[in-house]
Amino acid sequence: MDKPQIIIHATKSLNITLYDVKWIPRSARFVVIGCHPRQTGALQVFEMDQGEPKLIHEVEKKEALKCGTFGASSLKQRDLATGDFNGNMRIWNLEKMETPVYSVSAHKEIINCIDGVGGAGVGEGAPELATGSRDGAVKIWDPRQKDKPVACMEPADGESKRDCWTVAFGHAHNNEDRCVAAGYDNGDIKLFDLRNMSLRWETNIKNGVCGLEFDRKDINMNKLVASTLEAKYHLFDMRTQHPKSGYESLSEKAHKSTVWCARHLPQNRDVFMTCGGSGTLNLWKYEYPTSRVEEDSNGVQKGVMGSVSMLQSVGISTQPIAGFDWSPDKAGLCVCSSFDQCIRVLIVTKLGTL
Amino acid sequence: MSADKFLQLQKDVRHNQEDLKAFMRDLNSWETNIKQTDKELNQDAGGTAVSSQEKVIPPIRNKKVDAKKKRKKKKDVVKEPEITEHTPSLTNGSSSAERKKIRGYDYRSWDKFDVDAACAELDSDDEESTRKTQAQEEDDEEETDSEAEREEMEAQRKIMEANAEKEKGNTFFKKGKYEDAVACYSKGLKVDPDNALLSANRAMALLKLKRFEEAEKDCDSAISLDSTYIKAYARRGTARLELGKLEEAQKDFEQVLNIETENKQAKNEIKKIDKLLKEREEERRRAEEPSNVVHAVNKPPHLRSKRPLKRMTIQEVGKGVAEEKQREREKLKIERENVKMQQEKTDRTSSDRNNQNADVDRTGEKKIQEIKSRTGEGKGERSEQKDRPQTSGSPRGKGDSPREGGGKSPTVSSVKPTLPGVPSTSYQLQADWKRLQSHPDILFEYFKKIPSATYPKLFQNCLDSAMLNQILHLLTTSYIPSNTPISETLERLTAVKRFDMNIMFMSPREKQVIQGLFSHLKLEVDEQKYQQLAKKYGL
Repeated sequence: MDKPQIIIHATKSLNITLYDVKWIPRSARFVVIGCHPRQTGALQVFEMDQGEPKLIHEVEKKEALKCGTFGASSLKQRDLATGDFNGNMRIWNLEKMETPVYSVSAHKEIINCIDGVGGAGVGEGAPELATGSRDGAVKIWDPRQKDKPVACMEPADGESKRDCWTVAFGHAHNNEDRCVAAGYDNGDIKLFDLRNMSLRWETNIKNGVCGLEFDRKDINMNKLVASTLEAKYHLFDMRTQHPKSGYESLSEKAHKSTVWCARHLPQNRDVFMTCGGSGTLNLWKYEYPTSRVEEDSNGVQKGVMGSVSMLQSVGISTQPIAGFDWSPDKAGLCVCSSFDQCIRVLIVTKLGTL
Repeated sequence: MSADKFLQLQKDVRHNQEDLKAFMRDLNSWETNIKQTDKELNQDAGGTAVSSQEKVIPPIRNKKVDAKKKRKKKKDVVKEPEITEHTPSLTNGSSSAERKKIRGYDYRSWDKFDVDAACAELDSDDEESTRKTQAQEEDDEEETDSEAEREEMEAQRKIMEANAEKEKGNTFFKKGKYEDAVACYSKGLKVDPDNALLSANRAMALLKLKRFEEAEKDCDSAISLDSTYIKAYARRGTARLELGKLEEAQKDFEQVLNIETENKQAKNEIKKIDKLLKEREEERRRAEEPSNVVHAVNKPPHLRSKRPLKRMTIQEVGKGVAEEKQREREKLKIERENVKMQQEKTDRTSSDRNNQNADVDRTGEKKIQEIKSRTGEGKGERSEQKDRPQTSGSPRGKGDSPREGGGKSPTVSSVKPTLPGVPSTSYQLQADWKRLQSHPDILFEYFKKIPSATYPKLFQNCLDSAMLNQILHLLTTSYIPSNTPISETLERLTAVKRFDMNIMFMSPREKQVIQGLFSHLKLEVDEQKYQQLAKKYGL
């Protein structure tokens, strides 16, 4: 019985709507992103103090904040990039939160998702942020360039604009290579190759894509998990791309409700947590097949899927869990936010022995 | 069995408890450790302390991509001449076409490309064998790759900096702080001297500051960087207009119209300049003309309101007629003597020919005409002398060609319409033209006076085939013999409305006239212009 345990270590009830929560790299602090009842943005920084999260500072911003990331900031700076309901992308120095260090009106509508790479020791290459918005566009930003995105992927004029719900960086294993995956409300997943500036692959999983995450951002693409609206997630093997069928995948039922997001354990890329709309958390482990590639009838290489097994399932809330973040520094420590306005610090044991 | 299970469960729970306890202990120590590093990092961030891993961050993405694209293009063009060496014209065409697409700051990269290409070609010459060359080139590319990249990065950085200055300048400009704007643009130009936008913007600010000379210079440089930059032309035009360089200003605005035919500002400015030019011309003429008599001759015909005109003309004409009559009488005396001498020599045929002259309707004059034309034919010099008094006072007379002077006599001029002033409206032109139609010499004088730049405005829609033919005929019979350049007129005519249509419907005979004109034109203009005009004239 070496199953890992998921234990609620601490619960903190707040009076704001919580959309996202992120650990600050190299610290015992995490930042909570959300909005006040009067639709103003809330940024709150908590620090673990003797195992208890303690609010250390808090600011209120004009626009309700939706998402945030540290992915593109260096360990020295540790600036938080946020996207808000009015389409602004801002970068904040958490020590001086009065004015943003970078601010741009990035999209015409709400920024649903943001991801960063190139900073905090995550991924090679330039620090870059990706934002996805209801206006259908995915934009790539470099904090060194003001006002203008370095790349913009949007539907052509006349094409219907799909709501982009999630973006994820990956494949940043050297200075040049980099990919960004985007998931849309109609079930489209598009993989943009930022080196060639081209669409590398696209598929449709017939269900709104709520969350996308590569198991690692800074390696040659390995796995991609896409969680969907209706109690399912898809796991793609991103190593081998077949010219016709693309990437192989498996799908797994989970949560009996919307799977809000999937988060890979930083210390073990084959373990990931999915967060459900019913307030449950599922911990999964992916088992590789004996051979990851096979040849099809024409002698073209094709990926082979392994299998996933659920390690643990636990219900912690009655409301959807929208935000989840593993501590990058302490294996097994994680924090999640749910729509019951609570943040919970969780401990997952026995991860080291898996 | 169940006891076993229970024991197992109990063991598990205990195990988990221990695990958790261990984790909590771990967590506490981790907490203190991580807080320490956190603090250190925060302090680091405050100062500019040396980071343990000073990573070289790659350049901003799209810049990199741009650079790559550019390099790719460069490569393509370098390769092209190699492949198509025996068809140089083709290569030139394509590369120049590509050049057209690239704007402003990119010119520098093209400059660089030329050097590279030259180097590569030199290398290839040295190496002789083509295969070797290719290998060599690839090597070169690899070697210079990183260097070129760095160079390009530096260039990109400069351009960015320049753009930032431009933005700053623009905001100053919008606020009306032109001095500050100029300073910003200058700073930007220092970093990136090949930015046409910057110079053009500075020119605009200088215009606002009424520093027109500098503005003109800036526009010059902007145009030299980007010859299709409409705004630069327009601004230079404005600057030149303010500096009083009307002709040059007009050229600038015409250039604007060349690029963008529907530019309202340019059209208005050209109109304004035309007016100014005319005024200036008038002033000059007034200054040149010493007596008020000529002044009166030049002035009256059309612009005056009717009443005063009537009164004036009565006085003037009466006077003029009296004078002229007196002069005529004197001349007639001389003439008669001549006639006597000449008549004996000449045969009847010439007088027959002259009888047919439709211009002459008065019997009294008929004779004179006859005589005059004959004497003219015989003794050009003499009649030219006589020609003088008629046009005396007017500087125009001096330029008369011997032929013209020889062909027409002063006495006839009393019947002939007087030379009207330069027309300013299409209507006026038409009226004058109708009147002068049958007097090619006056028509020539008249037409010569019209500044060719105003043709499109003057002719407007009234250029019909008859008129065009007349003009062409005029060019053949009057311009060429008098060595008056025809290229300008020919060129300007092409800009007149309905010109193309008239050319299209020309008879072969009329085409011959043009043919003749062009054989003369060849001596006047260079080949390129000639071809250009020939095309327009449907040759």
